[in-house]
Amino acid sequence: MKKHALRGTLAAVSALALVACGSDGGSEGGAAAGGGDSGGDGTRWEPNRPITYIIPYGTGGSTDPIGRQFASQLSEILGVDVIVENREGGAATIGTTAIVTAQPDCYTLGLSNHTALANQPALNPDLPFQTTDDYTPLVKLADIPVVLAVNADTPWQTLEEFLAAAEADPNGIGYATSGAGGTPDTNAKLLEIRTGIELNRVPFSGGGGEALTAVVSGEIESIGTFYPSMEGFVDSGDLRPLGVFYDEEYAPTPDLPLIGEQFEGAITPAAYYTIAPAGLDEECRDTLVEVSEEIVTSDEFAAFAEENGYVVDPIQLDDLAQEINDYRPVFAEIEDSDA
Amino acid sequence: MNSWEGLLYGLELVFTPELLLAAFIGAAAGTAIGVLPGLGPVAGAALILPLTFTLPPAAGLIMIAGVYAGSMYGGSTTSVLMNMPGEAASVVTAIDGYEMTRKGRAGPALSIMAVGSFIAGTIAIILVTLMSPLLSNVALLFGPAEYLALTGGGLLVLARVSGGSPASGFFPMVLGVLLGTVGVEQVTGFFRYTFGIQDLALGFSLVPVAIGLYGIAEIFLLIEDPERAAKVKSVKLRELLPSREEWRRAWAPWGRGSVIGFFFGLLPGPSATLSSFASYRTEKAVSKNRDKLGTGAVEGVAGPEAANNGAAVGSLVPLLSLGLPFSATFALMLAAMVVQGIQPGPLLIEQRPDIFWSLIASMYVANVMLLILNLPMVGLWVSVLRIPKSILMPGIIVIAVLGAFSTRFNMLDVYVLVLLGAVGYFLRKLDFALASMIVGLVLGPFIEKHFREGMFLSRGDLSYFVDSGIAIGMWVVALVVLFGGGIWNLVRRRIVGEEADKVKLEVED
Repeated sequence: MKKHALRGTLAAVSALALVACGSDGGSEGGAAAGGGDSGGDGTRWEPNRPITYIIPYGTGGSTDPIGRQFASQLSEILGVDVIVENREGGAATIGTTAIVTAQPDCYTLGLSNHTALANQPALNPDLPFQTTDDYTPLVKLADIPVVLAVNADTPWQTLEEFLAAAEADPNGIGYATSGAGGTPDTNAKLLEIRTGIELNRVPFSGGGGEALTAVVSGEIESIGTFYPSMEGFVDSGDLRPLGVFYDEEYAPTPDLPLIGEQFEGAITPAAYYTIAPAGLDEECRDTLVEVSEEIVTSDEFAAFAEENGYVVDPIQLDDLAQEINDYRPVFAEIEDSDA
Repeated sequence: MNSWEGLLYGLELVFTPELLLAAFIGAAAGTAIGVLPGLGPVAGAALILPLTFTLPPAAGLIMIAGVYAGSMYGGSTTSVLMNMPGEAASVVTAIDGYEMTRKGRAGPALSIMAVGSFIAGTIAIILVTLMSPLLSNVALLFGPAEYLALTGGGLLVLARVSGGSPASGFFPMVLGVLLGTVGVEQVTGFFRYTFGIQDLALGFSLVPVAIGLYGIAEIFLLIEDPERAAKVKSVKLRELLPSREEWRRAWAPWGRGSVIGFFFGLLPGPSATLSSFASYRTEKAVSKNRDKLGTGAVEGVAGPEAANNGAAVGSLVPLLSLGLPFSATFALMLAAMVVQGIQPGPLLIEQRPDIFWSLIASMYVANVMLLILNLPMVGLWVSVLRIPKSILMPGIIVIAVLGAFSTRFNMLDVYVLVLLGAVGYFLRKLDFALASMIVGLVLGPFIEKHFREGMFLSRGDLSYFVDSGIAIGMWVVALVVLFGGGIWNLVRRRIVGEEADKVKLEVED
């Protein structure tokens, strides 16, 4: 009798575990995209030589680590070397071009982002990735929202006070960004369009470090940048964060007001994707879709994301294409405005 | 803990067999990478980065520090032996280093570099220890106005870094600044001088330009005149070591170079490269043997090599105290720290003194390792020159092409390498100073950037740039260096008469 009970319990537990696996593997995005269940037939593509993973930014840049994280997990799962190639330049278009024009044999894939895929084609009709049909949007790695902060010596304690001051003094308050057209700059432009304020946006190049130095030293009043880089200065009391350009709770700063909630459409977080050339071989395509979801939903990737301020959002294929297409009118709006 | 306790604590942490091994591997790998033209500290650190993820934090960071110091040294080795700078910070070492090689003094030049790197490391460590609480905020004193003064004034002062007539320096400098404007404009992302070619958006990278101007042009010159090559008959130990006279002349430049390098290291920008040029310029102004610079003077090797190592230690200060990496190599170091769960920032010294001081100590240990590793190897490097030219030269070209390509995986850099090789050949035939072209290419984009930032910040008010004491001070220094000598000569001529005025300026090459 005891044995029966034990067996019964074990069976129940193992069944539960199976269910858990199933729900894990077939999460919303994957199932809707038709990729999540492809492991069922048991055939899995096995690469027999190294895979190249192209990162369209320089070695050691702020975007390099998330690409390398994905590449190293890809290598672990597929059991072959994954060689990271940094092909920087041209606002990520050079690297992205290299990915989409590679042989569609599943041995070349890489990182790209929402501006390269949704904004650059509109600016440059020569780029070989005009629509989402020109490449395979494998998986979204993560979002990272911009946080608005001010030098702690400025009088503004809240987002409202900051916006009121900006309204009273058009072009009077300086806002440091990592460069014109970069994500912090784009968010500020959207905020200006939605609220009618006018900030003196100062583009500092050089990876955002110099923008941070300028606001910490009091050279300029405010900054938009990603939270991990400013965190040390928030802890030391040099900077005061006022709001997040995001529309759902952002874990690193749970108490900050969400600018995306207050002003609809005033946000565009940086979004990073893994893409591959269009027309991949059927056999390996399904495996890549499955494996890339496995990576992005893994605990290891979650830990990396948490440490670096990323918000994981594992959508794939059609859903991902939809997101990229949704960004197009946002960029068009910014281009058309005078901001 | 105070600074001395901190340093001792750091050294205590670092002197374990495991960490010493990590420093050794890093320094050895770095030297090997640096010796290959085109592969410098960034490539080295990038190669070794994935390896560090699996090591304990301190070991990983020490290994990267070793690679950094090692590749700086290795890069200068090829400058001295073949007139082929392995990375930008070694460009200026090529001027006198290669002349020393042609005089058969390659061994002493390499020994002076290795010892100089070690001494610079030592002096910089002492400076960090004495002043670490004060130094962390130096970078914050500098805004666009100060940086414009530093880079703009620096451009004017350094245009004549290697002597010669003003025109021989200023023409290549303008050419360098022009090359720097090609590609994506930094502030608005506008494409300049790309002629519809997407790859040109990358712009001219320093590495292929430097290897082309020096290395490839040197090979052209060798084809034309085989007698030009350095001759090494035998490599005797006595000839590898510097003479007493050479040791004596190296001391002062080592000291000056170390301090200059250290202070440049505290600031963003290409501090190692800039400090090596600044050190050379200083030697040209104050050294007892300044007339001999450019003809194979020990001072021209000792100063810049000390400076770029001093800068390496100095730039740890803003990295650790502000969490801001001011160069690609340090961005990789930061990546290694973040992976280990260490986020540098203003509170790091207080909260994690162990990390701060073990990193400072590790930079030092890396320098010690470099010395231990490289002094015995000087003979080996020098014997590279005994390889027949018919084998060595094609080999160098192959490696240079690979190196140029590997920095960004783009054929553009290979074309640039060859093109600049031709440009360098003709410029040298016409007696122009190549080093000032590198200065122009390095500083031009920075000047533009800081000027634009300042104009944005001040909403178009030019007086912003002279609204700061530091900026005014730097402009004054630049003007004094530029015109002071001439004015002084005029004054002296009035007082002493024409006879006293015999200032000789040596032309590079």
